[in-house]
Amino acid sequence: MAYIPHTDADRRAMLEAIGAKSMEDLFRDIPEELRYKGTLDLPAHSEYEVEQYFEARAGENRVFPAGRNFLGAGAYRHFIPAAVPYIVSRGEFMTSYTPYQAEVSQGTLQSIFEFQSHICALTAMEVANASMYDGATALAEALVMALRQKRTERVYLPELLPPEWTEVCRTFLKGLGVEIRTIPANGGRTHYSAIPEGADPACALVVCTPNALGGIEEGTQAREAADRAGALLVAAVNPTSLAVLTPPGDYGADIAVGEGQPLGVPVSFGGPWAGFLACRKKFIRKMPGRVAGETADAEGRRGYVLTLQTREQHIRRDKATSNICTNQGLVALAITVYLTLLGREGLREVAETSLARTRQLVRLLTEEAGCSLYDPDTPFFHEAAVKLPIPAETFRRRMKDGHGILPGFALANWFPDLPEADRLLLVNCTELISSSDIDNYRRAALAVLEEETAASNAP
Amino acid sequence: MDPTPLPLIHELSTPGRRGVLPPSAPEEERRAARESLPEHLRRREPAALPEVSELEAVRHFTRLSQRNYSIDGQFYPLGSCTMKYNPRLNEKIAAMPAFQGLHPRQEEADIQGILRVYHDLQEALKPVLGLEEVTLAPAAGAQGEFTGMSIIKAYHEDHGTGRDEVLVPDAAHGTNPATAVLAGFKVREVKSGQDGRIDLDSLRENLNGKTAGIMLTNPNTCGLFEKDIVEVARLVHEAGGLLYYDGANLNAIAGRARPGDMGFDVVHINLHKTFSTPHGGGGPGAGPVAVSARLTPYLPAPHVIRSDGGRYSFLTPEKTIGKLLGFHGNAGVILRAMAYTLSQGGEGLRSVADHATLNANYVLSRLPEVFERPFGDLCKHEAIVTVRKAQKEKGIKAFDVAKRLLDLGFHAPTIYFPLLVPECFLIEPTETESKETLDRFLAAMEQIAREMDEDPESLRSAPVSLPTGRLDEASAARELNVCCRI
Repeated sequence: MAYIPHTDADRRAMLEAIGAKSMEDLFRDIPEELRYKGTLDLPAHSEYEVEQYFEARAGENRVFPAGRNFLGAGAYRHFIPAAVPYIVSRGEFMTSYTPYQAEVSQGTLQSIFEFQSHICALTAMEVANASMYDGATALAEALVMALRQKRTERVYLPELLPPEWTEVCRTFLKGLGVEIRTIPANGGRTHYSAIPEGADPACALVVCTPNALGGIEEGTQAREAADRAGALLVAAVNPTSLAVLTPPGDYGADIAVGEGQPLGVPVSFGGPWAGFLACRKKFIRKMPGRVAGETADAEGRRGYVLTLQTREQHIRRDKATSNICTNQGLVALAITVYLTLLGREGLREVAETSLARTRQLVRLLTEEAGCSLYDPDTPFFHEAAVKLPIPAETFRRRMKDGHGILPGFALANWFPDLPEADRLLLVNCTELISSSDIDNYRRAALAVLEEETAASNAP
Repeated sequence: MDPTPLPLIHELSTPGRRGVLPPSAPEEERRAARESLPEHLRRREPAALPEVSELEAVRHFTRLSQRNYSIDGQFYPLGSCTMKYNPRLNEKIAAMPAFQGLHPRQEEADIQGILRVYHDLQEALKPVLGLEEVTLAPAAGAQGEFTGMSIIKAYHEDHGTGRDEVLVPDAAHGTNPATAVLAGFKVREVKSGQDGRIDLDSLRENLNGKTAGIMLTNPNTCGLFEKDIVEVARLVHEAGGLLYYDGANLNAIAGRARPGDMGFDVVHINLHKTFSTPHGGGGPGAGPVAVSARLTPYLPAPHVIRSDGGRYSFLTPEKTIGKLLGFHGNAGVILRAMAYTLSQGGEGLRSVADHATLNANYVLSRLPEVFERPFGDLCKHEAIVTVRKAQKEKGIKAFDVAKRLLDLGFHAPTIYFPLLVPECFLIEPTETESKETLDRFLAAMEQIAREMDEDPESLRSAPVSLPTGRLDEASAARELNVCCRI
């Protein structure tokens, strides 16, 4: 049997020590009618056979090289230093558990403290937790947190929030009876003036920046709108962008959340990733999840423990701030190591290069390929909504099938009601896209557009 | 071990030092990019991230790792957590570029391999649990609980029952009541009897026209099989409620008994427990949920199905409770669990339960007398014992014993849980530990039993052999220093 060390002699000796007649005898407390008599119809496989099964499955997936993948829309391929997976795969980190025994978990606890410090530095917030399941749940938990702080059962979410995030918030808030209102978009950004003085009060108002169309929002306008609704301002941000964009703390956000995947975590079909959640210190007692704090032992030596556990489910039970038990430990560690290795200069280079390449791609699409920006007046970071001369779905299919390029995300999947939605494509570049990759895109796009235009002009 | 605290990575920072250089556009292109942003939206001060060399970083995190106990390094009998060996094969599989490099928005034709893995694991779990359908969407056990309770909520709303109360035993995991509240229920506590099992009278008293369901763990958090489970199921079902199974303790009974046969309607399990995926210092995990036929329309989105033509695709169930995560669950964890399931096969899973139960009972049978057994001498995969007598007579607490075990090279069992047994330990050895390891642990427990009489101070001052002594948790909560500034 795989991974079980017992010999026949061990089993005999142990059963004898216990005073049991057989293995079955150990299950005598299970009522006879509940004992499972069937067999689970699944053969055991050797290590080699297991690998063969997965080799076969791998062959049924199609992975695109980084330079031919311009698909972002919530999952971003960035450069990952080799030392990140190396550190994360060390057994001392990987096979430990949640640090209940602090004295033998200082590695995990100090790395969580460093994670929290990195997140505070990026977001310019005062405190952060040890991470959440992903960005979408971090936002949903932030809204629950705001509800516990303000007790007003209403939130304002921007129309330009990625729709999956809106759905996750809906799933979380349904049971709590919270009303979700939408702040409409005005072109490529959110129309915060739609929340007037005297607007119905809410516990939270969300700014998502860059938003689902790639546009950078005006954080201060969101702050003012939140104040008009008496709400906490929750900022949902892309962490890479914070190397170049105003951090949430600077425009007065009360809570900042986001998806940590871009920081050293492979796209991995969407998980496991890790969300981050930071806030002002005065709200820390309403914060969900694990938090590591500094302390000292009897001899005054510095050490770290899980702190504020009285907020948590294992102590507070039905009064807990959340039901979350742990964090995304290893993923948060990957993020910590990534941010350490890139450092303040490296992360800025990543952000600026991603922006530069995206600008380059947008320039060629608008200047050479007959495309236009969906909203030329809204600045973008590493993703932009472009209007194509042909349906975006046709373009996407032709680019993939004919040229092996994933050219972007067809926005009609998200926002079918936008004007000319079927022509909108969300394109993304990171630092992994080189100038020659963009040149490949250019040649392929021009060929596809020419053929399609010719086909539609044919008699 | 060197007793000096390690510096924070921020304290190793030197202005101008670089670690790993990312691919970068030339400076002039980057400057142009920077200046394309409106000035008021640009970051003024760079984020205060450390500036260290790659070696400094690798050495720092390596040294940090050495201050952890782990399954790879130590026996880790943490009750309720199932700290079994994490096979390296599973890591190799999860790291394959054909899985790690998959973008979650690729079209279904290009992701058939991963979808088939999802589907194969769903199918493999059904007979283990004895239920109709399985979803792999939840990211963790607690999210599995939330999924299950949201399904129960949706069912009652759909049928207009107006039921909004959930029964939870006093010995339940804390996540149970916390989850029920998050899903919009009121919680009523059911008492445990003297035998550590659910008290049927207390159950009857709490059932009423508002009862939406009950959340149970079986074997329960005392490591005992709820032998009246069939009667519990009958009472709850007759009262109009549904039964929720917290699968935290599946390792005890996989292949020996099935929650579906016991009468449960919804089950969550933890892939990071029974299915051997690493705990990672606190995640990531995955918490698949299985349901009976009448609850399948409420499963979360997306759900993976196989069409007659053998194509795999995502489906949004008709009356879904909605999405739980931005994408499709923790694929990396699901891959590892599938690798483990294939390695074990059906017989292997039963063998896992057998040996997990054998190991726990062996430890229970051999522990010194000072570790009292409140609930007799037969347990399932974990054993509960208490030092309440030593606490009363000598002032030695479970906490002290736990810290002393760290000194002796073992991770401590879970302490002070479940709450209904004072000064308790919950010991879960798991099946991957050998008799020799258990004997060494038992020898350490005997040494501690002797020290209670001969050298109680060595218990109260423990740990002394680690780089960090007993840490002051009260001062951490008072000072609330949770991130450093540079």
